Amino acid sequence: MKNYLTKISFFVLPILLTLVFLEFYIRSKPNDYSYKNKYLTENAKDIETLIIGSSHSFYGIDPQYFSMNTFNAAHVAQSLKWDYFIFDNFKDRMTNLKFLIIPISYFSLFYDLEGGDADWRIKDYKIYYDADGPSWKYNFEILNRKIVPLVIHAYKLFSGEDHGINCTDLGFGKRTALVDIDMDTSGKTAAEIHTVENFDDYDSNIEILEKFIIDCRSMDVKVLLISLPSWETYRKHLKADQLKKTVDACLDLSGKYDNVVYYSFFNDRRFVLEDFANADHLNDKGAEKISRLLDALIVAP
Amino acid sequence: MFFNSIDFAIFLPIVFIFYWFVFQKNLKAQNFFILTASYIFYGWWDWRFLSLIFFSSIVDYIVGLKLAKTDKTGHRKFLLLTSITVNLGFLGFFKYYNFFAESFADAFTLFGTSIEPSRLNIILPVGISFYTFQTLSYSIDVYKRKLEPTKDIIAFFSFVSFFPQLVAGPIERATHLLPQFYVKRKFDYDKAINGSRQILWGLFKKIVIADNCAKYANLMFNDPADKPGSALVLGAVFFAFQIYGDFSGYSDIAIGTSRLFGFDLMKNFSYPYFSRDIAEFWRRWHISLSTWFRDYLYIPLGGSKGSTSNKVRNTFIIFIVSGFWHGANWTFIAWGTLNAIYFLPLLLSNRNRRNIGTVAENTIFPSLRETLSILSTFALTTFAWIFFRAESMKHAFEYIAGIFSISLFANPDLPAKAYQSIRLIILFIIIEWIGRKQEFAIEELKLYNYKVPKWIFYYAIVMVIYIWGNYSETIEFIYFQF
Repeated sequence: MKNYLTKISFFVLPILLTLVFLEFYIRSKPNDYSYKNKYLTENAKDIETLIIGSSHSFYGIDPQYFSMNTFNAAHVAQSLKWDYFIFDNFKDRMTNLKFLIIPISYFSLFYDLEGGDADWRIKDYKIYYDADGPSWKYNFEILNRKIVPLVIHAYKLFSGEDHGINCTDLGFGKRTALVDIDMDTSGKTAAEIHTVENFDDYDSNIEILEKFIIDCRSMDVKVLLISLPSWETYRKHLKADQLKKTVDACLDLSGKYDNVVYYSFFNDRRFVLEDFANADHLNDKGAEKISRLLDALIVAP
Repeated sequence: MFFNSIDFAIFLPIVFIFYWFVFQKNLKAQNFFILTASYIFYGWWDWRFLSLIFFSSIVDYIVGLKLAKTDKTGHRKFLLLTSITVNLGFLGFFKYYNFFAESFADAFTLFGTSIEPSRLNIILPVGISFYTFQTLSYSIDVYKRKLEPTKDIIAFFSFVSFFPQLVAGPIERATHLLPQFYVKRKFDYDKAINGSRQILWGLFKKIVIADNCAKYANLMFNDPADKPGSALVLGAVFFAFQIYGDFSGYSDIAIGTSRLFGFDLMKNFSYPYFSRDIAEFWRRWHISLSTWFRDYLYIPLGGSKGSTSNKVRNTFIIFIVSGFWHGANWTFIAWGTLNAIYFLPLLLSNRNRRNIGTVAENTIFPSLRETLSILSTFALTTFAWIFFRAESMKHAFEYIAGIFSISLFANPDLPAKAYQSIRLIILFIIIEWIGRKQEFAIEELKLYNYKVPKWIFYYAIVMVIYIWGNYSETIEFIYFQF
């Protein structure tokens, strides 16, 4: 037995030590999650407009074009549940908050990070926002990335190729160089990914939205539900009933609550091909355009 | 809990340490610990289904005790029937209810009437087909007086739920596994090392071979209409290696894990793709199920004895039932029927036991004749796998029609990464060929005589698993659904 355990230990120990080193090294480097948590912790009281959401708003709404003090707390693949987690975490400290911008994408009401393809990102909330999570495995970087991307990520952090933080000071997503995008393929692929088989998550997401709205009402904060622009190659592949249910829900909520307004830029002709990074994401130019439009709506509603 | 999960990587060492260091001195406590660990392992998916295993175990335990107390044929038959009814009842309800309801409704449409079948919205309990057959073997063997019924309830419950093989086999016989719970296990260094190697090899098969092949098999099967025939052929080949890597990989991990705890499980695969005819394939593929059906269905029906019509009937019954065991879908029945059609000519011409030993036993390479036999058997098997993988008969026929089209000779236009999977399959075949005389391919290699190359080899396998393993999603073991 002793001989066996010794041999197994000698075999496994180098692997384990490497993993432990990677875990500590990656955690020691700042990233978007740790940065935004730090920013919100230190500046919550100064924020007047808060933007939340997924990659659509992370890369799509740039706080620098807002007149008020604005911060973008969106993260890639962030679901409404985790939007609310961030908001709930800081709402008591956001004493100057006046506007909350909640982009409602085609998938938002039918999507939950947990159980989806991107559920490994839950670890970012557990590790860097100190959230409660559904499983202990989300407490570790090494358990939520493939080994090769993990090593490459650590190497890029070490070499300085990746700075860890990939957003501006105000939380807007900085894009790496874009390759030529085929808008037809991009639209079809994104639409397929965003179209759900059932509406199981709909009720729970509406509940979350209502929690947002009720909290904001008690804080005297106006909620802007918005549909961000998308390109026609994305729109034409969407399922009509899922899209209709999304729009109907936004209209219902804006009719039901007086602190809610709904603006749809989904099919807005002011956004042209040059404004898009791909069929469902704006580029920096498009982000500037929508951000200025939103600011105008906030300043002079 | 999946064998290829972090959960299991933590669970296994904990169970191992408690098993050998805390409970070793007391056999009953050690068995009780195995039972507890097994229930935790199973409950990790859905604790509610533990009640099914518990109920199935208690019924067969009581049936066994009652059988020991009576010699009356009628009473004994009634007890056996109770066991069969309960076990197959569970299986039928959870696995086949919707199939029968839908098939019944479909039958009505033939008469111009349509009825809406009442479906049940139930989840299939993981591994139900495996533990049901395992516990049934106990009742049948006790009934046939091949086995003394056990009074040791902990040993019996541990035998039914033994976690390494609980959810996907090998389907153990009570006569083989149950007695191992009666005797004190001693730690055996060689056995543990051998088990560890088998676990490593099983992980390679599952994570590198099966999960990589799954990507491209799914790509072809999900949308066959868009693919050239040549790509569909490769899709079927990918599936052949996916299912082999997946299921035999699971069996290797199960057998290897059992060895760490001092248990021996039966061999479940023996290089089936090196078979020279279909009869040999079925002696090498899912051996624990094939022999289960042979002993408890085929032989009681008369086996290969009697008239030609009896042989034909029994062959079709065993293959169709075997197909149906895999799933409640006509595709599995078609798969079983097709294998029966492959097998019958060999049986009827008494050529079904021609190829018994290891292929090319004393040579490095197979002869031309052996090569052609192996390739033709593989082609037949792969063709049958199309039905196994297809979601419906329509889907299967569409896939086959896609293959037999002019585009069969077109460029398959595979994604670049698919060629990497093909290279991995070739590497896998070479290693399997080298190790084909052993229980598993890397059991004994000459380089094990040298410490450094041995360790380099182990690390190389780990690196291959890390580098080429498909971790983009946790792909379930295929056989869990059965």
